[in-house]
Amino acid sequence: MMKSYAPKTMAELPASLAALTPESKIVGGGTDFVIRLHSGAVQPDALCYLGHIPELKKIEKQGDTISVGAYCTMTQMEHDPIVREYLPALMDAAADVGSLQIRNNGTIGGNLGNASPAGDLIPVMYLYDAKVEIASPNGTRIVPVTDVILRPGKTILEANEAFIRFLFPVPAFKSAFVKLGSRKKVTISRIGVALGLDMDGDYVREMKMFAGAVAIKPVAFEKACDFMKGKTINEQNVLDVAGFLSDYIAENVAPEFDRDYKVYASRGVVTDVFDRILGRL
Amino acid sequence: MVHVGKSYPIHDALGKATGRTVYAGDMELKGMLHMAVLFSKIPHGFVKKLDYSKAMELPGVVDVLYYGNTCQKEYNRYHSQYRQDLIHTERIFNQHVRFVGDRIAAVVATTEEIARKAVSLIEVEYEEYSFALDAHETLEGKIDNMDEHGSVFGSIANEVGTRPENDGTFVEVDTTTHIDRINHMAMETHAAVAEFDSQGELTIYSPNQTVYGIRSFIADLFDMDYNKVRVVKTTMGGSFGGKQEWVLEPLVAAAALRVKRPVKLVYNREESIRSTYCRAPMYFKNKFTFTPDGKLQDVDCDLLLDAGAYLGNSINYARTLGSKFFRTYRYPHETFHAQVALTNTIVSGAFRGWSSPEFNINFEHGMNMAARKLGIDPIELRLKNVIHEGDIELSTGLNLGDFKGRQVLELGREKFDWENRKKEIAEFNAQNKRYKRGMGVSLGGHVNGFYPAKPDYTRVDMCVTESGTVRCGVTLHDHGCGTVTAFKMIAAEELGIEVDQVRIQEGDTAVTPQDFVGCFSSRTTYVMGRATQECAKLLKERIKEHFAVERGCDVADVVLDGMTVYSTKEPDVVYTWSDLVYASQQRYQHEIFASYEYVSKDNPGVCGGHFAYVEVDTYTGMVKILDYLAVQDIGQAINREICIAQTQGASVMGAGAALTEHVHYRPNGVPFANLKDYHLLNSFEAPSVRVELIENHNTEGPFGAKTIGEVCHVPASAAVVGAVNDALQSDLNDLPLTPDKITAYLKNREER
Repeated sequence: MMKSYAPKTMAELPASLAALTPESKIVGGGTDFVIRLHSGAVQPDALCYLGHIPELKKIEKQGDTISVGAYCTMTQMEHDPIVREYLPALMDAAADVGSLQIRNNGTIGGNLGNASPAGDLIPVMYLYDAKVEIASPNGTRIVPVTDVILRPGKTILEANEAFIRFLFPVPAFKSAFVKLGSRKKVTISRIGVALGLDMDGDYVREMKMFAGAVAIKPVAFEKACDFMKGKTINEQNVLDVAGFLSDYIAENVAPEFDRDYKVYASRGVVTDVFDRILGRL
Repeated sequence: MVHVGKSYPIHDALGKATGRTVYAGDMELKGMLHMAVLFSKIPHGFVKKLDYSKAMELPGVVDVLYYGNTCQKEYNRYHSQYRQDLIHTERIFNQHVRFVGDRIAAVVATTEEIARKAVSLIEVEYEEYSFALDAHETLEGKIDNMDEHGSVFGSIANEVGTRPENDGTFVEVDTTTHIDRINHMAMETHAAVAEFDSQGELTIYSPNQTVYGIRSFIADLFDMDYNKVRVVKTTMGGSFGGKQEWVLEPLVAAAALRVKRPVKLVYNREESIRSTYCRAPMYFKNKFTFTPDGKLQDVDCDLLLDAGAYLGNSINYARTLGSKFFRTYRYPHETFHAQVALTNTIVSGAFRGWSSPEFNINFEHGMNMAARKLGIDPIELRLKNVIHEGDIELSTGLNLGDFKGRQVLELGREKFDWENRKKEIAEFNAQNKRYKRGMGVSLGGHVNGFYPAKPDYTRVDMCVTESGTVRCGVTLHDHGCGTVTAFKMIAAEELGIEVDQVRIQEGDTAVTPQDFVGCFSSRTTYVMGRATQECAKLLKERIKEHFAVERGCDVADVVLDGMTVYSTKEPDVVYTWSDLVYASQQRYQHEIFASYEYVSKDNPGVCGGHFAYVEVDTYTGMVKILDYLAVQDIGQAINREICIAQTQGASVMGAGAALTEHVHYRPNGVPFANLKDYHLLNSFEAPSVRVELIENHNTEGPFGAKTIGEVCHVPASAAVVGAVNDALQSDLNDLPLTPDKITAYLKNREER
């Protein structure tokens, strides 16, 4: 019989985590997990749900840091005024996850914990240099999100550990995220591009760009960013940036992962993310 | 008319909305057990060893059925008529497994969870054989060992008319078409329940399109007296052709016969996709020949149809497709040749329209490519060739009656603002690099029943209850689309009473009249609806006769008014129908009932013309449908809003087949059998479909109606494909036109 733990306060959290074994699972909104549970692909001895702890559902700005609880849902992030003002790429990504029903349940913690190469929020976390606070029975530790994913479905979390909070430094740049799936809505990402721009008038001072769903972890496009430094945003420059993405895909993605499509469609998603960010400058 | 042509909610809308309606999967019978099936994990091979000892040891398991202890007679799942001449290739459980999803064994247990757990404990050892996932591989001889009847069935051909003399000016257009396999995706997955009682009667409950067809299939399979098999049609949550071949029914029957307790089997979505059946993949090659001014002269069509792992209906399906050539356009000559090949994939079977949509996808693409080559507007080209009222179907000699194809095209052209939009599109495309727009038109003809290809008749029973209301028994199979309400409306209209004063009993072989044909081929409203109207006329006569006897008056003077009856000679003596029933019981000693048998007399042309306006993102290959119009030649809408909704649903279904839907196979023969990978058009992408109905009330159908449920699906895919090809000036007809295929095409074109 599967056990379940659902602590209601931060004080109860360590005892619940201490009871978990390597066969146990922390459950967020269950977007992917419930499917695997029903299919028998996972057979945990215990489930632990932390969504009743109020602190884990809060979004707060404390000085230069925005703290997002691990059990904040996609819907919550999509509509939260702090996220909309400071982390619009996170809003973009959250708003485009699955269907409304999925967004009402799916959490930011689950999105990282599931460690899917197609995880919509992960390139955005990379863009914003996010850190994540991890709780264990003995206390908490804070690690950069870039250190979390080991391989698809596997993170650095130990059996007794759980994500509790994400920490985003308030960015000094404009940002946006666009995903390209197999259809417009309710679709798995085939390419997700998170873009940050710091402008000096019409010229790019600094650019940051990460692409999701083209490798196990989001890929940084430093050369594309260097290329854009001091340039204006025009059609040709945008297409050249897309060229960096399509070249990467052509060289690194296996054909069975829709390589040819992704190579061709790179210019679509890059054009769209620039269009979106231009609306925010 | 009081009811016909108005709009009424479907009869079980409240129950469905409140969750009270019982589907087969919800049924509970005393002592009922649950079944789960063990499916082949390999595409082709032989089960060398099957060890189910661990499954039997699991508490709650009652029985394990497999090829070694269950009827091994071969059958054809398409068997729906007594003594139907079909090739039998399939068994309830198969040791020689032929596709991923083939049935090897099943567990019967006290709960579904235990049954599924026990299935996972069965150990299977396979000997693996070479396999074919595409019909061309079969033609190359890759699976010659698959079936004793062979793997390729090639004698399907016809030639109609006389080939006109080419004066040297004829224009030839060569085209190819590929249609991938699609699933019906009914909201209700497949389910069936069987019980075998102490009197030796086997009862099967399932959502299906012919209870009498299943009775014949099951009685023949298990060598039973037809009188010992009862089949009850349950509430159906959509069929689209997916519940007219027998996949679960033989399984629950075999189990109930063995364990002598009721047994229920419910397939989940993955099992319904992978292990029931799909629309056949098809490859076409064609030559269309025109005069320079656009008169179609000749069509030469070659078809390769992928039957999947078992033969099912595929030979009949290919043959039926070959009978569709002269129901839309008139031209002097056609040749058709088809091959049907087995493959190690999902079995192919019936799909909404039974080959008319596939025929249309192929044919209308030819019309579009010809229009481009000839420099003629696509609607204009169709108008030059469309069948007119009273034309004769060249292949059958049948008069196509009040066919409204020309009016459909003309009304659509006007309502879709075709001419103005052509200019708008040209301007838009000239200014836009990334997005390209285009329009497509498709005209699709269809049938109303089986006449004259097959016998097509039915019987309807009616009687008056003590309340004066009317009971009607007719072997209907409402797919979820409102047939019962439509029939209540037909009967009520004829009887002059309210819709809710008629009760319709759906198909139950113990209760409703024999109908050996089933609810197929768009015959329900056209043939069975007319039968119901005629039966209602007869019942009115019976009521009058009873009243005449009761009052000793002349039948000719008797008048019906609502649920009352009186004689014009004695207008103050008014009986309610309830009064008359009482009088008939007490004095006349005779029930007020009617039974009427109607034989279909004709099969007029019927069609839909669909118009699609799309925008293609040439960077990503995504297609957005900007506007969609469906014009249907319907004779007379019975339940108006339902006819419109059916057409809207069909348009979205056809657009999905055009753009996104297909069951994709991995190279190892395992299909992607889930809705994450199988993309239906969702509500964000579905167009708002505008519907126009052309009604001329001039057919043998009830109140002049024609069919709607299938014909509204016929033109849909081709309209969308035509619009994409117009936008890109491409010649793609490899369905679905996914973003991947569109971008691959654009990439090739850029590189050329």
